[in-house]
Amino acid sequence: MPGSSPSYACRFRDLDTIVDEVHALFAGWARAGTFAETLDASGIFVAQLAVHEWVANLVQHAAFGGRAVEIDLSLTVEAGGLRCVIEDNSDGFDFEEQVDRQERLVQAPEPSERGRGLLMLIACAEDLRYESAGRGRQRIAFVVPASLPPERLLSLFPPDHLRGDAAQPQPAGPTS
Amino acid sequence: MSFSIQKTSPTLAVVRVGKALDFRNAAEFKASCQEHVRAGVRHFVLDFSGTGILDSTGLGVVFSLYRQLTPIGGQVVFASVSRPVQVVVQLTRTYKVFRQFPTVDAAVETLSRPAPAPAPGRPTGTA
Repeated sequence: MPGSSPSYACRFRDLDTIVDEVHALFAGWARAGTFAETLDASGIFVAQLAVHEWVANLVQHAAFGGRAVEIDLSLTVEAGGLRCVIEDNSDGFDFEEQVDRQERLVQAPEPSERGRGLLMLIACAEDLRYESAGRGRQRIAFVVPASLPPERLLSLFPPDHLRGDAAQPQPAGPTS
Repeated sequence: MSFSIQKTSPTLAVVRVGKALDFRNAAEFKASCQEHVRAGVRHFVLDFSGTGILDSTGLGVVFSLYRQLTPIGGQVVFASVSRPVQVVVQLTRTYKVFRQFPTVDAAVETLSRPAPAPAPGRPTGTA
């Protein structure tokens, strides 16, 4: 129905608890089937992972310059997916430069186990934009599509690292 | 920390990952696994039942363990994979690397079997 897209908004102020708070929210939405008409069965977990990776990035790397932390998450159902917008009052960073850095890291002969969060987020999302929101705030916005086509599969690890010795070619079904 | 590690034999350990393996506990997870590797463990069964989040850092640590153990004949396998973890496994195509079992018991049973004997007629040692 035009003009009636459901939306959800939350503000977080504590970097020590934000990850658990975010997961509690998503667990509630998953249990309630809040986005079941928008996303396929895995979609809510893809959205959760995308938001987690961004929040993890903020917790680990963002500079808030002594200001009281404000991180605002909003989710809006729209045609074809779930739009996620996260605004914060950190100093921000050069998104493209960090993505380039992570892509180089993945290709390194002995890659570190850290530093893949933005690549994971990109794999989960469409129409991703990171920009200033004005008034000293930064904004990332992206859409988690209703279903992820196979070609969106992520190379978080180089192909030669994924040659694989697992016995089965297909993943087993989840147990819960 | 939400994980716990239990040795079921001198060379095999079951890791109950718990609610999360992410940037918050990945270093501790790695250190604990390394301690068991130093003590002789070569096979790890990661029990992901009830795991709500496996993020890029958590998966990176698991991958690092895999890369350490594979050259010395070890294995890292997944068991009782929850749906959130399955999403990560599919997104990253790591199902090509980490064998999955429906239960921990099934994984332990498989990894506890003796290695198959060499095929008849093949050399088995030095001349």
